[in-house]
Parts: sequence; C-alpha cells; structure tokens
Amino acid sequence: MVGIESYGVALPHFRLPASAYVEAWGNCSARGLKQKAFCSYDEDPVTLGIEAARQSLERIPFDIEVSALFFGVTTPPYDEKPSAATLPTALFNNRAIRVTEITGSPQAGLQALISAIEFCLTHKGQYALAIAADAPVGKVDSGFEHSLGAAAAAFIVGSQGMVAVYKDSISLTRETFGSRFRRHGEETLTDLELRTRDNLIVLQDLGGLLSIKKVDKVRRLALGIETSLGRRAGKILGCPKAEIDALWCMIGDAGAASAPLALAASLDKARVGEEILSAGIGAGATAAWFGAGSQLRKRRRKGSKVADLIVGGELVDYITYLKHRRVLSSKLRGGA
Amino acid sequence: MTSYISLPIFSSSIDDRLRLVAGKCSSCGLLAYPKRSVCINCGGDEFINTPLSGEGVLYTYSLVAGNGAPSEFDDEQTMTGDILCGVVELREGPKVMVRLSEVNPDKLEIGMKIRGVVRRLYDQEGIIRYGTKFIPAE
Repeated sequence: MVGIESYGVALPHFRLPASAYVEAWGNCSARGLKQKAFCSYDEDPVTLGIEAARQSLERIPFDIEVSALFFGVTTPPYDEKPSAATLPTALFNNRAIRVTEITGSPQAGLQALISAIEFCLTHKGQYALAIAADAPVGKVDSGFEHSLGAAAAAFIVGSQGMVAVYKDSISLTRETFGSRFRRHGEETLTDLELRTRDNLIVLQDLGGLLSIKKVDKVRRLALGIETSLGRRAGKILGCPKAEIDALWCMIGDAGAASAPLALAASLDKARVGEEILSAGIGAGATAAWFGAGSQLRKRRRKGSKVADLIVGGELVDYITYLKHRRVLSSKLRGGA
Repeated sequence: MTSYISLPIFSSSIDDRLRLVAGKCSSCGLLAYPKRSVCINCGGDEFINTPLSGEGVLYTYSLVAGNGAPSEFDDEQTMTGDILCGVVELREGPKVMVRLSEVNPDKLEIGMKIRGVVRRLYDQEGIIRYGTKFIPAE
C-alpha cells in the first residue's frame, strides 16, 4: 500500500479582488473570479513551496527521512539552476535526496505527486515529498492576466497511506496550441487568444479513459480548472454525484498548484474511506484518485486548512498589486 | 551604500540562513546565531550544528524609511514602502536581528509572537538571495 501520509498548503499573503480590475480596466476578464492570491515582492513559488512543505512535515507526529523530492512548477525562478535544490536545503539536514523538477504544464503539480507515489512503489519503506507551487503571470494589459494567481501544496508520500491511500492514476497527452504558452526566456505567459474548446475535449477524453476504471465511488473531485468547466466535470468524468473542490474563483489560476491545492481542500473535508479524484489539464490531462485514510482526521487537526487561508489574506488595491509584481519597477522590467 | 555579501560568503552560510542552524558550544552549551568561531561565554571553539525552531517573540523593532536601506533593497523599498527590521528573541534563547514581513508598522507590538519563513531577500549579480524573514505567528 502506498499513499499520502501528510499534506500542507500555503497561499501568498495578498489578495486582489476582481473588483480591482473593474475599477482599473472597466471589467474583469476572468468570469466567475471573486478574488485571487498573488505573490508579494518577497514571495515566489520556491518560498511558497517551502512553507507548504513545512506544514506537511509538522503534521506528521514523528521524524521522517525523505529520500526524494519532486517539485512541480511552471514558473521556477531560473531556466537553469534547479529551484528544487533550494527546497531540501531549507527543509532538511540530509543531502542524500533525489531531487526532480517537473515543469512546462499546469499538470506538473499532479505529475510531481504521481512521481513521488511511483518512487515509493519502487522504494519500499521510503518517504518522498511532492511539492506543487506556482505563480503564473501575464502581461498587465492582457485580459488573460486577470485570472492568474498563486498557491502551493505539498504531500508526503509513504508506504502506509495514513491520510489517503493511492488507488490509481491515468494520463493522456494531446498536442495542442492550448490557450497560453511561454517561450524560452520569457517572463510572462502569452494568451494565444484562440477561444478553443481544448480543455473540454481533453476532459471528455479523460472521461472516456476513466469509464473503464472503477471511479463510480468517487465522492469528491479536486480539479485544477476554471469554474465554468468545473461545473460540468462531474458528469463528463463519470462521477455525477461527486462534490467538486475547485478553488479557481477564490485563488485564481495557480497553474501547476491548482489541482494539488484542490486535492488538499478535499482532504480538509473528506470522511475516512471517501474516494477523491484529482485532475489537472495542460496539453493533455492527468488524474489520480485516492481513498481517505484512517489517520486523516487526526493529522489534519494541526495546521491550516485551505478555506482558512483563503479568507486570511490581506486585500489590496490594483496599484499595490502592480508594485509587488514589480511591473512598475524600471530596474526589474516587471519580471517576477 | 551597500551591505554587499559576496556569493561565496552567502553560500557558505546558506543552511544557517534557510534553516536557522545555530552553533551550540560543545563546552558550555551556549547557542550562537549567527555562528561564531569562538564562544563568547567560555572561549570554546567547537560547536555542534543545532537547528532552531524559528519561533520567538519580537524583542524590538525599527522602521527604515525611504532611502535609508542598503542599495540592494532600493527597488523593494520603492515598490513596497518602508522596510521593517527587528530583533527576535528565539524560543531557544538567541536574539537575532531580522527583517519583518507581512505586517504594518502600526500593528507591531513588543512581545508579539513571530515565526520565521523563507523569503526572497534581494536579487544581486543575477542571483536570488533567499533567507529567513519573520512574520506574525497566528
């Protein structure tokens, strides 16, 4: 048996309400968005990832030695120089850790979790840490930018599955121009401005693959997709009665962290034995499902719940947002 | 003006900065953070690496107003306003000079609980310098 032994989450300190875009630009292009979380001047996916990982370690009532760390992120601070190496240095004294950085797609966070699970399947009795953290940014004069947020979630994976027992996973890949991209060396995402139905098609393909798996007992869907598509996801994925945890409208699009954060929100509420399916989309899709473990209620008592963190941030205005994003800085050219 | 710390020097203390690793004197047990080569209590020169909890209380604080900070903080100060510094009295005893974050000056109180978090301190020579700042503990 392999599964999640503990989990932790982190959100940036600041929140920007959707109304700030209406005041500044006349509208908010992110339909359904109420607010989003964004990184302050001194935060980035690395600092968020460290905070989430520390929360996950504090929830385990004994010391563990982590053998592998998988970091899922689309916005690492460096193109070359693994940000994933900063994470264990901040977390452990131990240097004998395999570190892997997975990037390039909003699926990266869930892929990091599955990689950690597969590591533990082949390294019996060892622990792995999966960290998903992201802070995608766009050009400030693009409507597409309005939805982009930031978040992090971390999962300690081991051979007992005290918090959630791993059931299975499935992936599909589809060459697509999608809705956004970022060329090598660029700091901000570019909106392709093609309003395709790529995400819907991928979700339908995923539903087709899941139809031959036993997911009819899934009671919670933890999704890293926008609200409008999320509402239809239960039916498309073959789990029409499942409660949906999608935090897009309160966090924004947190890229690789979106689906893992939704999984953490599901774990915050799930009953023992309940099945949870988490799915992320980006040039294909990845889904993994779990059964809530016997120690879930006990371990989640300590530390912050996702819902508490969402309401705990500090609301700021649009100019403050731009300053913290360094967009108004002549020295840093608006880079993150 | 700058308080320039070269990359090799910064790198040599990276564990101390990210995980608050103190030096515990092998002779008298005094904790030193940052680490020292000689114990100020007994003169001992052997230390054991000892990670600190990062939990403590605000001992005192100061506000660095516009243009008062070293140049590596110029952009941050222009973008975010006054910079807050303080001394934290850590649970294990050492008093450490730190940067404060996520708090407005009018909300600071001597004795309030604070905790360490890893943050970007500044960018220099193309390298992001990560280190520990302190924020209010909830």
